Amino acid sequence: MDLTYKKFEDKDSYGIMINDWVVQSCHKPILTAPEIDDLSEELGIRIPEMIFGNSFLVIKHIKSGFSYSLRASDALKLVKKGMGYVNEIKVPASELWEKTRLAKNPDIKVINPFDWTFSTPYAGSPVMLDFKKTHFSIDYAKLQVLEPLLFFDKNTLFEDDLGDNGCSSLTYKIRVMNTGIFILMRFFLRVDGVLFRIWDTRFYVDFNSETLIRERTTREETYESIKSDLSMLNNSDYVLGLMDPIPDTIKNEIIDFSSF
Amino acid sequence: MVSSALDKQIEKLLKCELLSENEVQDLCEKAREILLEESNVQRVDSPVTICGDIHGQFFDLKELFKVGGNCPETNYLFMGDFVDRGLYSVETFLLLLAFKVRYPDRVTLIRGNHESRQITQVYGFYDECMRKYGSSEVWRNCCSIFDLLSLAAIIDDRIFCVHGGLSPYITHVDQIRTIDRNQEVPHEGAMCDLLWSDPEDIENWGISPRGAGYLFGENVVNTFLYYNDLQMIARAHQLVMEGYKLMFGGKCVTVWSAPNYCYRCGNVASILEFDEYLKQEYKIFEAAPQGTRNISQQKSLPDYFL
Repeated sequence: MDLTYKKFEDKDSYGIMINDWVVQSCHKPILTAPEIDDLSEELGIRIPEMIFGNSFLVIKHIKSGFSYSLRASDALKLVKKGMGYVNEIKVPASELWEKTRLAKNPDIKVINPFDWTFSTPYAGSPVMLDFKKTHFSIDYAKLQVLEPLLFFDKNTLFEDDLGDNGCSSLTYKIRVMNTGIFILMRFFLRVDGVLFRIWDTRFYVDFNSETLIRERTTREETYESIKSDLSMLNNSDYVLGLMDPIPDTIKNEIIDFSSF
Repeated sequence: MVSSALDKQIEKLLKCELLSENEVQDLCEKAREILLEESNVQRVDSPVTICGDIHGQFFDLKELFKVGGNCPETNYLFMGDFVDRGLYSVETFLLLLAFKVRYPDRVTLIRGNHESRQITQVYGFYDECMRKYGSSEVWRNCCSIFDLLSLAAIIDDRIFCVHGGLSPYITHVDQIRTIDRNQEVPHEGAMCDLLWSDPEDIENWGISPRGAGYLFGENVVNTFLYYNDLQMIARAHQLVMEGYKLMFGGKCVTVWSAPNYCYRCGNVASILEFDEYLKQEYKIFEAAPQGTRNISQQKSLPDYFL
Protein backbone atom coordinates (compact mmCIF):
# COMPACT_ATOMS: atom_id res chain seq x y z
CA MET A 1 0.00 0.00 0.00
CA ASP A 2 1.38 3.38 -0.95
CA LEU A 3 0.86 5.61 2.01
CA THR A 4 1.45 9.31 2.14
CA TYR A 5 0.46 11.50 5.01
CA LYS A 6 0.36 15.17 5.77
CA LYS A 7 0.26 16.71 9.21
CA PHE A 8 -1.39 20.02 9.92
CA GLU A 9 -1.53 22.31 12.91
CA ASP A 10 -3.19 25.58 13.90
CA LYS A 11 -3.53 27.55 17.11
CA ASP A 12 -5.75 25.04 18.93
CA SER A 13 -5.57 21.83 17.00
CA TYR A 14 -3.32 19.20 15.52
CA GLY A 15 -4.15 16.79 12.78
CA ILE A 16 -3.06 14.37 10.15
CA MET A 17 -4.37 13.28 6.75
CA ILE A 18 -3.53 9.72 5.89
CA ASN A 19 -4.93 7.14 3.50
CA ASP A 20 -8.51 8.48 3.05
CA TRP A 21 -8.67 9.50 6.68
CA VAL A 22 -8.45 12.89 8.37
CA VAL A 23 -7.80 13.14 12.08
CA GLN A 24 -8.11 16.38 14.03
CA SER A 25 -7.62 16.85 17.76
CA CYS A 26 -8.61 20.21 19.20
CA HIS A 27 -7.59 21.64 22.59
CA LYS A 28 -9.60 24.62 23.83
CA PRO A 29 -9.89 26.24 27.26
CA ILE A 30 -12.72 25.36 29.63
CA LEU A 31 -16.13 26.84 28.82
CA THR A 32 -17.03 30.38 29.85
CA ALA A 33 -19.65 30.96 32.56
CA PRO A 34 -22.43 31.77 30.01
CA GLU A 35 -21.52 28.68 27.98
CA ILE A 36 -21.66 26.57 31.15
CA ASP A 37 -25.07 28.03 32.07
CA ASP A 38 -26.42 27.24 28.60
CA LEU A 39 -25.06 23.70 28.60
CA SER A 40 -26.31 23.08 32.12
CA GLU A 41 -29.77 24.23 31.13
CA GLU A 42 -29.73 22.11 27.98
CA LEU A 43 -28.57 18.96 29.74
CA GLY A 44 -30.39 19.46 33.03
CA ILE A 45 -27.38 18.60 35.15
CA ARG A 46 -24.59 20.46 36.88
CA ILE A 47 -21.56 20.64 34.59
CA PRO A 48 -18.19 19.14 35.65
CA GLU A 49 -15.73 21.60 37.17
CA MET A 50 -13.31 21.35 34.27
CA ILE A 51 -15.40 21.25 31.15
CA PHE A 52 -13.49 21.33 27.90
CA GLY A 53 -16.71 21.67 25.93
CA ASN A 54 -15.06 23.14 22.83
CA SER A 55 -12.33 20.53 22.63
CA PHE A 56 -12.86 17.47 20.47
CA LEU A 57 -11.36 14.66 18.49
CA VAL A 58 -12.76 13.94 15.06
CA ILE A 59 -11.83 11.29 12.52
CA LYS A 60 -13.30 11.39 9.02
CA HIS A 61 -13.33 8.86 6.24
CA ILE A 62 -13.28 10.98 3.09
CA LYS A 63 -14.72 8.49 0.59
CA SER A 64 -17.76 7.46 2.65
CA GLY A 65 -18.47 10.75 4.39
CA PHE A 66 -18.35 8.91 7.71
CA SER A 67 -17.13 10.94 10.64
CA TYR A 68 -16.75 10.14 14.27
CA SER A 69 -16.16 12.63 17.04
CA LEU A 70 -15.57 12.61 20.75
CA ARG A 71 -17.16 15.54 22.57
CA ALA A 72 -17.86 16.33 26.21
CA SER A 73 -21.36 17.71 25.59
CA ASP A 74 -22.51 14.52 23.83
CA ALA A 75 -20.96 12.43 26.60
CA LEU A 76 -22.74 14.37 29.33
CA LYS A 77 -26.10 13.94 27.57
CA LEU A 78 -25.92 10.28 28.60
CA VAL A 79 -25.46 10.96 32.32
CA LYS A 80 -28.51 9.65 34.18
CA LYS A 81 -30.85 12.26 35.62
CA GLY A 82 -34.42 13.17 36.42
CA MET A 83 -36.72 13.56 39.41
CA GLY A 84 -37.16 9.82 39.80
CA TYR A 85 -33.45 9.21 39.66
CA VAL A 86 -31.94 7.94 42.87
CA ASN A 87 -28.18 7.93 43.16
CA GLU A 88 -26.78 4.49 43.72
CA ILE A 89 -23.48 5.97 44.80
CA LYS A 90 -23.09 8.23 47.81
CA VAL A 91 -19.97 9.64 49.35
CA PRO A 92 -18.96 8.04 52.65
CA ALA A 93 -19.81 11.18 54.60
CA SER A 94 -23.41 11.08 53.40
CA GLU A 95 -24.58 8.62 56.04
CA LEU A 96 -23.42 10.86 58.87
CA TRP A 97 -24.82 13.75 56.92
CA GLU A 98 -28.22 12.23 56.42
CA LYS A 99 -28.56 11.56 60.14
CA THR A 100 -27.69 15.06 61.32
CA ARG A 101 -29.54 16.75 58.52
CA LEU A 102 -32.75 14.84 59.17
CA ALA A 103 -32.47 15.69 62.83
CA LYS A 104 -31.78 19.37 62.32
CA ASN A 105 -32.84 20.40 58.82
CA PRO A 106 -35.49 17.92 57.64
CA ASP A 107 -36.82 20.33 54.99
CA ILE A 108 -33.67 20.56 52.94
CA LYS A 109 -33.83 18.31 49.90
CA VAL A 110 -31.46 17.09 47.25
CA ILE A 111 -31.51 19.52 44.36
CA ASN A 112 -31.91 18.29 40.82
CA PRO A 113 -30.93 14.65 41.25
CA PHE A 114 -28.54 13.34 38.63
CA ASP A 115 -25.66 10.92 38.55
CA TRP A 116 -23.11 13.22 40.18
CA THR A 117 -20.31 10.81 39.26
CA PHE A 118 -20.90 11.82 35.61
CA SER A 119 -20.73 8.12 34.65
CA THR A 120 -21.38 8.04 30.93
CA PRO A 121 -21.67 5.07 28.55
CA TYR A 122 -20.73 7.48 25.75
CA ALA A 123 -18.81 5.78 22.96
CA GLY A 124 -18.46 8.64 20.50
CA SER A 125 -20.72 10.50 18.08
CA PRO A 126 -20.92 8.84 14.64
CA VAL A 127 -22.22 10.57 11.51
CA MET A 128 -23.43 8.76 8.34
CA LEU A 129 -22.64 5.17 9.25
CA ASP A 130 -23.20 3.19 12.39
CA PHE A 131 -21.56 0.19 13.97
CA LYS A 132 -22.69 -3.42 13.62
CA LYS A 133 -22.06 -6.20 16.08
CA THR A 134 -19.11 -8.37 15.21
CA HIS A 135 -17.19 -11.38 16.40
CA PHE A 136 -13.99 -9.72 15.23
CA SER A 137 -11.87 -8.02 17.79
CA ILE A 138 -9.09 -5.46 17.75
CA ASP A 139 -5.80 -6.95 16.60
CA TYR A 140 -3.66 -6.17 19.63
CA ALA A 141 -0.73 -8.17 18.28
CA LYS A 142 -0.52 -5.68 15.45
CA LEU A 143 -0.78 -2.78 17.88
CA GLN A 144 2.09 -4.11 19.93
CA VAL A 145 4.48 -3.69 17.02
CA LEU A 146 6.50 -0.56 17.71
CA GLU A 147 5.88 1.12 14.40
CA PRO A 148 6.80 4.79 13.99
CA LEU A 149 4.11 7.03 15.48
CA LEU A 150 3.17 9.49 12.76
CA PHE A 151 0.80 11.30 15.06
CA PHE A 152 0.07 11.22 18.79
CA ASP A 153 -2.13 13.28 21.07
CA LYS A 154 -3.99 13.09 24.32
CA ASN A 155 -6.65 15.35 25.72
CA THR A 156 -9.21 15.75 28.47
CA LEU A 157 -12.88 16.33 27.66
CA PHE A 158 -14.04 16.80 31.23
CA GLU A 159 -12.77 16.29 34.74
CA ASP A 160 -14.30 16.82 38.16
CA ASP A 161 -12.92 16.12 41.61
CA LEU A 162 -16.43 15.38 42.91
CA GLY A 163 -16.03 18.00 45.61
CA ASP A 164 -12.74 16.40 46.63
CA ASN A 165 -14.40 13.04 46.99
CA GLY A 166 -12.46 11.49 44.14
CA CYS A 167 -12.19 12.01 40.43
CA SER A 168 -14.36 11.62 37.37
CA SER A 169 -12.81 12.21 33.98
CA LEU A 170 -13.27 11.56 30.30
CA THR A 171 -10.05 11.58 28.31
CA TYR A 172 -8.75 10.30 25.01
CA LYS A 173 -5.46 9.27 23.46
CA ILE A 174 -4.81 8.76 19.78
CA ARG A 175 -1.90 7.36 17.80
CA VAL A 176 -1.57 7.04 14.06
CA MET A 177 0.80 4.55 12.46
CA ASN A 178 1.44 3.48 8.87
CA THR A 179 -0.94 0.59 9.38
CA GLY A 180 -3.81 2.25 11.18
CA ILE A 181 -5.35 4.64 13.67
CA PHE A 182 -5.82 3.67 17.31
CA ILE A 183 -7.89 5.64 19.81
CA LEU A 184 -8.62 5.03 23.48
CA MET A 185 -11.36 7.05 25.15
CA ARG A 186 -11.60 6.45 28.87
CA PHE A 187 -14.19 7.29 31.47
CA PHE A 188 -12.40 7.00 34.82
CA LEU A 189 -14.15 7.24 38.16
CA ARG A 190 -12.80 7.13 41.67
CA VAL A 191 -15.12 7.72 44.58
CA ASP A 192 -12.94 7.71 47.69
CA GLY A 193 -13.90 4.96 50.07
CA VAL A 194 -16.47 3.57 47.62
CA LEU A 195 -15.40 2.39 44.16
CA PHE A 196 -13.44 2.66 40.94
CA ARG A 197 -14.84 2.50 37.41
CA ILE A 198 -12.98 2.33 34.14
CA TRP A 199 -15.19 2.36 31.06
CA ASP A 200 -12.95 2.19 28.00
CA THR A 201 -13.84 2.59 24.36
CA ARG A 202 -11.13 1.61 21.88
CA PHE A 203 -11.24 2.28 18.15
CA TYR A 204 -8.94 0.73 15.64
CA VAL A 205 -8.96 1.69 11.99
CA ASP A 206 -7.05 -1.00 10.14
CA PHE A 207 -5.86 0.45 6.83
CA ASN A 208 -5.24 -3.03 5.48
CA SER A 209 -8.67 -4.56 6.07
CA GLU A 210 -10.39 -1.15 5.76
CA THR A 211 -12.42 -1.69 8.88
CA LEU A 212 -13.05 0.25 12.05
CA ILE A 213 -13.51 -1.90 15.12
CA ARG A 214 -14.89 -0.42 18.31
CA GLU A 215 -14.36 -2.29 21.57
CA ARG A 216 -16.15 -1.20 24.71
CA THR A 217 -15.24 -2.61 28.10
CA THR A 218 -16.42 -1.83 31.59
CA ARG A 219 -14.67 -2.52 34.83
CA GLU A 220 -15.74 -1.73 38.36
CA GLU A 221 -14.12 -2.59 41.67
CA THR A 222 -14.62 -1.58 45.25
CA TYR A 223 -12.28 0.98 46.74
CA GLU A 224 -10.91 -1.51 49.27
CA SER A 225 -9.91 -3.98 46.59
CA ILE A 226 -7.44 -1.52 45.03
CA LYS A 227 -4.53 -1.37 47.44
CA SER A 228 -2.21 1.49 46.62
CA ASP A 229 -0.49 4.69 47.55
CA LEU A 230 -3.12 7.42 47.67
CA SER A 231 -1.17 9.58 45.25
CA MET A 232 -1.31 6.95 42.52
CA LEU A 233 -5.08 6.75 42.57
CA ASN A 234 -5.47 9.61 40.08
CA ASN A 235 -3.57 7.59 37.50
CA SER A 236 -6.09 5.51 35.58
CA ASP A 237 -3.44 3.35 33.89
CA TYR A 238 -2.04 2.46 37.28
CA VAL A 239 -5.48 1.66 38.70
CA LEU A 240 -6.30 -0.41 35.62
CA GLY A 241 -3.18 -2.48 36.31
CA LEU A 242 -4.58 -3.32 39.75
CA MET A 243 -8.01 -4.30 38.45
CA ASP A 244 -9.14 -7.68 37.24
CA PRO A 245 -7.71 -8.05 33.71
CA ILE A 246 -10.99 -9.63 32.59
CA PRO A 247 -13.52 -6.81 32.10
CA ASP A 248 -17.05 -7.01 33.52
CA THR A 249 -18.48 -6.46 30.06
CA ILE A 250 -17.01 -6.37 26.58
CA LYS A 251 -18.67 -5.46 23.30
CA ASN A 252 -17.16 -5.40 19.80
CA GLU A 253 -18.65 -3.58 16.84
CA ILE A 254 -17.46 -2.92 13.32
CA ILE A 255 -17.81 -0.67 10.29
CA ASP A 256 -16.52 -1.98 6.99
CA PHE A 257 -15.20 0.66 4.60
CA SER A 258 -13.91 -1.70 1.92
CA SER A 259 -16.92 -1.09 -0.39
CA PHE A 260 -16.26 2.65 -0.61
CA MET B 1 13.01 35.01 64.85
CA VAL B 2 14.38 38.46 64.03
CA SER B 3 12.92 40.16 61.02
CA SER B 4 16.20 40.17 59.13
CA ALA B 5 16.29 36.36 59.17
CA LEU B 6 12.65 36.35 58.16
CA ASP B 7 13.34 38.84 55.37
CA LYS B 8 16.05 36.53 54.06
CA GLN B 9 13.58 33.65 54.08
CA ILE B 10 11.04 35.73 52.20
CA GLU B 11 13.73 36.64 49.69
CA LYS B 12 14.52 32.96 49.21
CA LEU B 13 10.89 31.99 48.89
CA LEU B 14 10.25 34.75 46.37
CA LYS B 15 12.88 33.08 44.22
CA CYS B 16 11.00 29.79 44.67
CA GLU B 17 13.83 28.34 46.76
CA LEU B 18 13.04 25.91 49.53
CA LEU B 19 13.57 26.69 53.19
CA SER B 20 15.33 24.11 55.32
CA GLU B 21 13.23 21.89 57.57
CA ASN B 22 14.48 23.84 60.58
CA GLU B 23 13.56 27.13 59.01
CA VAL B 24 10.08 25.79 58.28
CA GLN B 25 9.71 24.70 61.87
CA ASP B 26 10.78 28.13 63.15
CA LEU B 27 8.43 29.86 60.77
CA CYS B 28 5.52 27.64 61.82
CA GLU B 29 6.21 28.24 65.52
CA LYS B 30 6.15 31.97 64.99
CA ALA B 31 3.01 31.69 62.84
CA ARG B 32 1.32 29.61 65.52
CA GLU B 33 1.74 32.41 68.07
CA ILE B 34 0.16 34.91 65.71
CA LEU B 35 -2.68 32.70 64.48
CA LEU B 36 -3.66 31.55 67.97
CA GLU B 37 -4.47 35.18 68.75
CA GLU B 38 -6.71 35.52 65.73
CA SER B 39 -10.41 34.95 65.90
CA ASN B 40 -12.46 32.50 63.84
CA VAL B 41 -13.86 35.49 62.01
CA GLN B 42 -10.99 37.83 61.41
CA ARG B 43 -11.69 41.59 61.24
CA VAL B 44 -10.10 43.27 58.25
CA ASP B 45 -10.05 46.95 57.35
CA SER B 46 -10.34 48.32 53.84
CA PRO B 47 -8.64 48.99 51.53
CA VAL B 48 -7.94 45.32 50.96
CA THR B 49 -7.36 43.02 48.03
CA ILE B 50 -9.01 39.63 48.23
CA CYS B 51 -7.78 36.53 46.45
CA GLY B 52 -9.27 33.12 45.76
CA ASP B 53 -7.71 29.71 45.23
CA ILE B 54 -3.96 29.62 44.44
CA HIS B 55 -3.35 25.83 44.47
CA GLY B 56 0.42 25.80 44.50
CA GLN B 57 0.78 27.81 41.29
CA PHE B 58 3.74 29.75 42.63
CA PHE B 59 4.73 31.61 39.48
CA ASP B 60 1.15 32.65 38.95
CA LEU B 61 1.05 33.94 42.52
CA LYS B 62 3.95 36.18 41.57
CA GLU B 63 1.85 37.44 38.65
CA LEU B 64 -0.87 38.15 41.20
CA PHE B 65 1.54 40.33 43.18
CA LYS B 66 2.56 42.13 39.98
CA VAL B 67 -1.07 43.03 39.34
CA GLY B 68 -2.15 43.62 42.92
CA GLY B 69 1.01 45.15 44.36
CA ASN B 70 3.60 43.82 46.74
CA CYS B 71 3.19 42.87 50.35
CA PRO B 72 3.04 44.89 52.66
CA GLU B 73 2.18 47.86 50.40
CA THR B 74 -1.05 46.09 49.51
CA ASN B 75 -3.25 44.68 52.26
CA TYR B 76 -4.14 41.10 51.25
CA LEU B 77 -6.83 38.64 52.23
CA PHE B 78 -6.39 35.12 50.85
CA MET B 79 -9.47 32.93 51.03
CA GLY B 80 -7.81 29.53 51.20
CA ASP B 81 -6.78 26.64 48.96
CA PHE B 82 -3.13 27.63 48.91
CA VAL B 83 -1.95 24.08 48.32
CA ASP B 84 -2.54 20.96 46.16
CA ARG B 85 -2.81 20.55 42.40
CA GLY B 86 0.03 22.90 41.39
CA LEU B 87 3.72 22.05 41.46
CA TYR B 88 4.82 24.48 44.17
CA SER B 89 2.45 24.12 47.09
CA VAL B 90 5.34 24.17 49.57
CA GLU B 91 6.85 27.42 48.32
CA THR B 92 3.42 29.01 47.84
CA PHE B 93 2.12 28.30 51.32
CA LEU B 94 5.38 29.10 53.08
CA LEU B 95 5.70 32.41 51.22
CA LEU B 96 2.20 33.44 52.26
CA LEU B 97 2.86 32.24 55.79
CA ALA B 98 6.17 34.15 55.93
CA PHE B 99 4.35 37.30 54.80
CA LYS B 100 1.76 36.67 57.51
CA VAL B 101 4.46 36.39 60.17
CA ARG B 102 6.40 39.39 58.88
CA TYR B 103 3.37 41.64 58.31
CA PRO B 104 0.57 40.17 60.44
CA ASP B 105 -1.68 43.21 60.00
CA ARG B 106 -1.27 43.33 56.23
CA VAL B 107 -2.01 39.71 55.40
CA THR B 108 -5.02 37.60 56.34
CA LEU B 109 -5.15 33.92 55.53
CA ILE B 110 -8.36 31.97 55.91
CA ARG B 111 -8.75 28.24 55.58
CA GLY B 112 -9.86 26.43 52.45
CA ASN B 113 -11.03 22.85 52.19
CA HIS B 114 -7.63 21.84 50.83
CA GLU B 115 -5.93 22.97 54.04
CA SER B 116 -6.60 19.53 55.48
CA ARG B 117 -4.57 16.39 56.22
CA GLN B 118 -6.93 14.13 54.39
CA ILE B 119 -7.27 16.20 51.21
CA THR B 120 -3.57 17.05 50.88
CA GLN B 121 -2.69 13.37 50.93
CA VAL B 122 -4.76 12.79 47.83
CA TYR B 123 -4.30 15.99 45.82
CA GLY B 124 -0.57 16.59 45.88
CA PHE B 125 0.77 18.61 48.82
CA TYR B 126 1.81 15.62 50.90
CA ASP B 127 3.66 14.03 47.97
CA GLU B 128 5.33 17.30 47.11
CA CYS B 129 6.66 17.57 50.69
CA MET B 130 7.93 14.00 50.55
CA ARG B 131 9.56 14.63 47.18
CA LYS B 132 11.20 17.90 48.16
CA TYR B 133 12.23 17.05 51.74
CA GLY B 134 12.29 13.27 51.81
CA SER B 135 10.20 13.27 54.98
CA SER B 136 6.75 14.31 56.08
CA GLU B 137 7.95 16.79 58.73
CA VAL B 138 7.21 19.90 56.68
CA TRP B 139 3.78 18.55 55.77
CA ARG B 140 3.06 17.84 59.46
CA ASN B 141 4.15 21.34 60.47
CA CYS B 142 2.03 22.92 57.75
CA CYS B 143 -1.02 20.85 58.69
CA SER B 144 -0.80 21.99 62.30
CA ILE B 145 -0.84 25.55 60.95
CA PHE B 146 -3.85 24.78 58.75
CA ASP B 147 -5.79 23.90 61.92
CA LEU B 148 -5.19 27.40 63.25
CA LEU B 149 -6.28 29.41 60.20
CA SER B 150 -9.35 31.60 60.59
CA LEU B 151 -12.58 30.32 59.08
CA ALA B 152 -13.85 33.62 57.73
CA ALA B 153 -13.15 37.33 57.65
CA ILE B 154 -15.28 40.45 57.63
CA ILE B 155 -14.14 43.63 55.91
CA ASP B 156 -15.30 46.88 57.58
CA ASP B 157 -18.25 45.00 59.15
CA ARG B 158 -19.78 44.86 55.66
CA ILE B 159 -18.22 42.17 53.46
CA PHE B 160 -18.26 38.55 54.60
CA CYS B 161 -15.39 36.49 53.20
CA VAL B 162 -15.20 32.70 53.39
CA HIS B 163 -13.73 29.92 51.29
CA GLY B 164 -16.89 27.96 50.43
CA GLY B 165 -20.04 29.64 51.64
CA LEU B 166 -22.86 29.62 54.15
CA SER B 167 -24.18 26.92 56.47
CA PRO B 168 -27.74 26.23 57.59
CA TYR B 169 -26.34 26.03 61.13
CA ILE B 170 -25.15 29.63 60.95
CA THR B 171 -27.65 32.46 60.91
CA HIS B 172 -25.51 34.93 62.84
CA VAL B 173 -21.81 35.51 62.37
CA ASP B 174 -21.37 35.18 66.13
CA GLN B 175 -22.21 31.50 65.83
CA ILE B 176 -19.02 31.05 63.82
CA ARG B 177 -17.03 32.56 66.65
CA THR B 178 -18.05 29.72 68.96
CA ILE B 179 -16.63 26.95 66.74
CA ASP B 180 -13.50 25.23 68.05
CA ARG B 181 -11.55 25.60 64.83
CA ASN B 182 -8.30 24.01 65.97
CA GLN B 183 -8.95 20.64 64.33
CA GLU B 184 -8.93 18.75 61.06
CA VAL B 185 -11.84 19.89 58.86
CA PRO B 186 -14.79 17.73 59.98
CA HIS B 187 -17.05 15.93 57.51
CA GLU B 188 -20.18 17.54 58.83
CA GLY B 189 -21.37 20.67 60.60
CA ALA B 190 -20.89 24.40 60.34
CA MET B 191 -17.10 24.39 60.01
CA CYS B 192 -17.33 21.92 57.15
CA ASP B 193 -20.05 23.92 55.38
CA LEU B 194 -18.12 27.20 55.53
CA LEU B 195 -15.27 25.54 53.65
CA TRP B 196 -17.31 23.48 51.23
CA SER B 197 -20.72 24.85 50.31
CA ASP B 198 -21.55 26.40 46.94
CA PRO B 199 -24.02 29.04 45.77
CA GLU B 200 -26.62 27.76 43.32
CA ASP B 201 -29.52 29.25 41.38
CA ILE B 202 -32.13 27.98 43.81
CA GLU B 203 -34.29 29.84 46.29
CA ASN B 204 -33.25 28.43 49.62
CA TRP B 205 -31.12 25.49 50.73
CA GLY B 206 -30.35 22.38 48.75
CA ILE B 207 -28.22 19.31 49.15
CA SER B 208 -25.71 18.27 46.57
CA PRO B 209 -26.67 15.10 44.67
CA ARG B 210 -23.51 13.59 46.24
CA GLY B 211 -25.48 13.22 49.44
CA ALA B 212 -23.18 15.58 51.34
CA GLY B 213 -22.55 19.30 50.94
CA TYR B 214 -25.00 22.20 50.95
CA LEU B 215 -26.03 24.47 48.12
CA PHE B 216 -27.31 27.92 49.08
CA GLY B 217 -29.62 30.12 47.06
CA GLU B 218 -30.47 33.78 46.79
CA ASN B 219 -32.95 33.95 49.69
CA VAL B 220 -30.39 32.36 51.99
CA VAL B 221 -27.85 35.00 51.04
CA ASN B 222 -30.32 37.86 51.43
CA THR B 223 -31.42 36.63 54.85
CA PHE B 224 -27.87 36.15 56.07
CA LEU B 225 -26.84 39.60 54.87
CA TYR B 226 -29.92 41.18 56.45
CA TYR B 227 -29.51 39.50 59.87
CA ASN B 228 -25.86 40.41 60.05
CA ASP B 229 -26.11 43.88 58.54
CA LEU B 230 -23.76 42.91 55.74
CA GLN B 231 -23.54 44.01 52.15
CA MET B 232 -22.02 41.08 50.31
CA ILE B 233 -20.46 37.63 50.46
CA ALA B 234 -17.10 37.02 48.77
CA ARG B 235 -15.95 33.44 48.39
CA ALA B 236 -13.62 31.26 46.32
CA HIS B 237 -13.74 27.45 45.90
CA GLN B 238 -15.08 27.22 42.34
CA LEU B 239 -13.17 27.51 39.08
CA VAL B 240 -14.44 30.29 36.83
CA MET B 241 -13.13 30.78 33.30
CA GLU B 242 -13.49 34.59 33.62
CA GLY B 243 -11.68 34.74 37.01
CA TYR B 244 -14.77 35.85 38.96
CA LYS B 245 -18.50 35.38 38.89
CA LEU B 246 -21.17 37.58 40.46
CA MET B 247 -24.45 35.98 41.48
CA PHE B 248 -27.71 36.99 43.14
CA GLY B 249 -27.70 40.55 41.86
CA GLY B 250 -24.11 41.09 42.91
CA LYS B 251 -24.62 39.96 46.52
CA CYS B 252 -22.32 36.97 46.18
CA VAL B 253 -19.10 36.77 44.24
CA THR B 254 -16.75 33.90 43.49
CA VAL B 255 -13.13 34.99 43.13
CA TRP B 256 -10.70 32.58 41.47
CA SER B 257 -6.96 33.36 41.48
CA ALA B 258 -5.31 30.37 39.79
CA PRO B 259 -4.87 31.23 36.09
CA ASN B 260 -4.68 28.32 33.64
CA TYR B 261 -5.70 26.07 36.54
CA CYS B 262 -3.73 22.83 36.71
CA TYR B 263 -1.65 24.29 33.86
CA ARG B 264 -4.31 23.29 31.35
CA CYS B 265 -7.72 24.91 31.87
CA GLY B 266 -6.96 28.07 29.90
CA ASN B 267 -8.87 30.30 32.35
CA VAL B 268 -7.87 33.77 33.52
CA ALA B 269 -7.67 34.64 37.22
CA SER B 270 -8.76 37.64 39.22
CA ILE B 271 -8.34 39.48 42.48
CA LEU B 272 -10.89 41.83 43.96
CA GLU B 273 -9.83 45.19 45.36
CA PHE B 274 -12.06 46.96 47.84
CA ASP B 275 -11.09 50.62 48.30
CA GLU B 276 -11.76 52.54 51.51
CA TYR B 277 -15.36 53.12 50.38
CA LEU B 278 -15.70 49.40 49.58
CA LYS B 279 -15.93 50.17 45.90
CA GLN B 280 -15.03 46.99 44.00
CA GLU B 281 -12.45 46.64 41.30
CA TYR B 282 -11.71 43.28 39.73
CA LYS B 283 -8.22 42.88 38.35
CA ILE B 284 -7.73 40.11 35.83
CA PHE B 285 -4.43 38.36 35.27
CA GLU B 286 -3.09 35.51 33.22
CA ALA B 287 -0.67 32.69 33.89
CA ALA B 288 3.03 33.44 34.10
CA PRO B 289 4.81 33.25 30.74
CA GLN B 290 6.14 29.75 30.16
CA GLY B 291 9.78 30.80 30.37
CA THR B 292 9.49 31.77 34.01
CA ARG B 293 7.38 28.84 34.99
CA ASN B 294 10.19 26.42 35.20
CA ILE B 295 8.19 23.49 33.95
CA SER B 296 8.05 22.05 30.53
CA GLN B 297 4.68 22.44 28.89
CA GLN B 298 5.57 20.76 25.65
CA LYS B 299 3.07 18.42 24.09
CA SER B 300 2.65 15.13 25.86
CA LEU B 301 5.20 12.49 25.00
CA PRO B 302 3.93 9.84 22.62
CA ASP B 303 3.43 6.37 24.03
CA TYR B 304 2.34 3.02 22.66
CA PHE B 305 -0.81 2.85 24.76
CA LEU B 306 -3.18 -0.06 24.24
